[in-house]
Amino acid sequence: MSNLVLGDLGVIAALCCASAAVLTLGASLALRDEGLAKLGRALVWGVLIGAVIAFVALERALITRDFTVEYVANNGSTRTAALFNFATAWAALEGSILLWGLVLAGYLVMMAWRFGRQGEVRQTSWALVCALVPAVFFFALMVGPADPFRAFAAPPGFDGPGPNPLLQDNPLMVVHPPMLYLGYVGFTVPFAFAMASLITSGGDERWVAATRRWSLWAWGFLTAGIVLGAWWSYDTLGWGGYWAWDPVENVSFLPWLTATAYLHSSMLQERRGMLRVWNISLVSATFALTILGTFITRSGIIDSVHSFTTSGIGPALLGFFGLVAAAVVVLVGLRGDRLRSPGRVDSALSREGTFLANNLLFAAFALVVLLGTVFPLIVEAVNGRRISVGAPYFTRMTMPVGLALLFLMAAAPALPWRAASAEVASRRLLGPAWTGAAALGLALGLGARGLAPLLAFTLGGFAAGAAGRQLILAARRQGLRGLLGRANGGMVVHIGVVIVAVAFAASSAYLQQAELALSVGETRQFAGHELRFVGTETLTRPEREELRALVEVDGRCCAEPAVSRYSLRGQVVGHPATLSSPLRDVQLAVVRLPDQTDGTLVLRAVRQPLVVWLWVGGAVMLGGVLLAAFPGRRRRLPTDPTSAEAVVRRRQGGEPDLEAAAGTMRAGRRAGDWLDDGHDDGWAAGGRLAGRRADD
Amino acid sequence: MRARRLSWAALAVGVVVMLTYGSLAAGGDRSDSQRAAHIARSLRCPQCAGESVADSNVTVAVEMRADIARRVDDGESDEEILAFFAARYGEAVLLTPPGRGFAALVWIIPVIVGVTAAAALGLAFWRWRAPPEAAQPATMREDQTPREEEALDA
Repeated sequence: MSNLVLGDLGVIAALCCASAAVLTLGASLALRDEGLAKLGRALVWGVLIGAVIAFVALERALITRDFTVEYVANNGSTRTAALFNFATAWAALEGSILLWGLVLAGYLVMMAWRFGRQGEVRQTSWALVCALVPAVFFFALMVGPADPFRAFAAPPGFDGPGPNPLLQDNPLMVVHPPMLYLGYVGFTVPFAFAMASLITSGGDERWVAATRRWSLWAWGFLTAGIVLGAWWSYDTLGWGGYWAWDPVENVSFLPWLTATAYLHSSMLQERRGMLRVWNISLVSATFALTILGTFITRSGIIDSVHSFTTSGIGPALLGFFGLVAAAVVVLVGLRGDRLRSPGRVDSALSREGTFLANNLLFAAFALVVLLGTVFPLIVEAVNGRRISVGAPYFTRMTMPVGLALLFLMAAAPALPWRAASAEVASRRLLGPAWTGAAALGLALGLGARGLAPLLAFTLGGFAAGAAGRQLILAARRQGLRGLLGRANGGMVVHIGVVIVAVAFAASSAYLQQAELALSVGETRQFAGHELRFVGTETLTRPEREELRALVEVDGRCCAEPAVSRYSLRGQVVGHPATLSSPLRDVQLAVVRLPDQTDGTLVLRAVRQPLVVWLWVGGAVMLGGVLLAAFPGRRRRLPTDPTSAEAVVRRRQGGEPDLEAAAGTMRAGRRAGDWLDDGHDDGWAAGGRLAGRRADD
Repeated sequence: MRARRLSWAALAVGVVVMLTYGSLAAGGDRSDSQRAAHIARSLRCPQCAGESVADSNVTVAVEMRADIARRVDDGESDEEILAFFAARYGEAVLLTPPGRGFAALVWIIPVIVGVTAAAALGLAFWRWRAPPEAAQPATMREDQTPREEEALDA
């Protein structure tokens, strides 16, 4: 069967199955018919099968260079290397929408499978409906404005131009986009359950516990996607630029910020029943921001280095974003009365207090990034003035927030839930504070100067000390098994974040750059390094011609910064040479190659300390996510999920707070019915506490 | 207890001294090339998609870098150089948004929202303060073992 027919069949099958599943599940909810719900869940498999067929058809078309498919004619070529040819499936708009659909279909099937067996039927059905609506939307895009399977009348001997040269240059092209999509799309699951919970029961705690790991995985994938993107950009663009506050970078960072806030605030809801509206808002914002991000990236309304396609799907995406936002606002408005939280914070000096401050800072961070990204559009719409909002703005505005977050990372793990006395805080924080001071001393000794970076190193040391203290306590108690579970896996993530923050501060504050003109054989000094231009060489590949400059660095031959000219697109792409070491990276990029008229090579040299630690920190963060996803030790002693007061009164010999106990008991039982999962935290403790009270 | 207080005091003094030294020692004049690089980083390359003059290899960016270096050499101030490029290529060439007019909102809004939210959170903490008789036993004893500490934390 031809790829066009196969692909169209797949897309249409997925769209039909998704729509049919929405209708069937809707009917099952209206008629309270479990059989229909089962049918609806089965139809979800059809969405995946359709998506897989379409994706396979696209890959087959690319691999066989089937130029009757317009997507292949526009983005494929016979000269593209196999690996990048495979990745061309997501190099342009239509293919990446298909990848989105495929990933979403995968998540849908996992939802249906996981919660179909042990979930509460109505809740699961509603959640599936909420996650299927985006699927219907995305597959409808593939039938309409973003159709990957348009026909093309290829003349004999036709060859396509291949993907954008920047996208066939680095193997990260194979990994980075799928990671990012796994992250983006993964937040559909908690979002769908939050909506389902709003619709069916007015927003209690169960959806949070049930989707805890889903959020964690999505966050891990998104983190991996962002870090890999930064790495790629560092490797390719050649100005030491792993992060430039570019709009496309910003929009991938926005859902990460709101999701990180949510990972923290969800613990407050699980334990104390607090922040119900806020958590639903964060999860919805995360989901909506992934759509908004796709809109900004794909519509081409904002200039970006990383934007490789522009298209007409902008209005559709913006419309869908508006629909999501409106649906959330309306639902929260309708259910607002039921969302009033029973819990309260006993003291600012407590884990809860620091989590609230954390959320405020992450929200402020996201506000700055969002506002800065879209502000040029707003100004132009209001008074026609054209302005730019770039790195200087983001650096200045986010630095105080970042430093405050580092401080909270130090303070929060040491503070107990409910309330701490100043005594406790002082005792537990003294050790970490000394690590902070030691980090400052070390940085000064190594020659670091300037208030902002020194503050970052101090607070980083403080935060790493606090996380290390928790991990040591856990390991002393339980050995290596103590590192499993959310609390301690989270501490490993914190250490990763500290490493990234320190590397970020050092590499941006102490960047040195220079432009050097060299004739063959000439030697120049740059930031303590000796660079000698040895000569050039030319390498011819089927898709491009690569011109390399050979540069001896500190007597070692040779760094090879290069420039490639792609034959069909005629585009020129630089390949900087990076010399990495644990303490500093030197990057050389070609500005101008010698030619007949002028024999000098113009090089851009950039020296940045600690860049390698950005990637190490990213890897540590992902390791922490893996540890956090494992179920930790079951808690022996109960914690009080609503308020400290009941415990306090009991300890004082007063009447137990029966109402609160009954409430927890209900919550515990409901949660238990709904999903037997995630016992290490939250509601399970509530359930046991309720049980113990009932025994009393 | 007393020792801990002393330790905190020593720590505070040490950190303040080190931070003061570390930030003042950096206060020397920036070198010309650092100044030029800084200016290039705060200018948008007029022909690129979202790259700064410092980052781009397009001809116009290379020329602008050379121009900046020459102007720095001639003793022009950062502001003068930025104003020159803004006059030549339009205001959008400045990556730092203006602090006047409607566009100044991009600076003001986050500050106002942040301060308001922080004040609201502070007010909430103040209103949530536990009644005095309840606050006492919820805190912890000085001599807790790590195990007890964990039990209260976890």
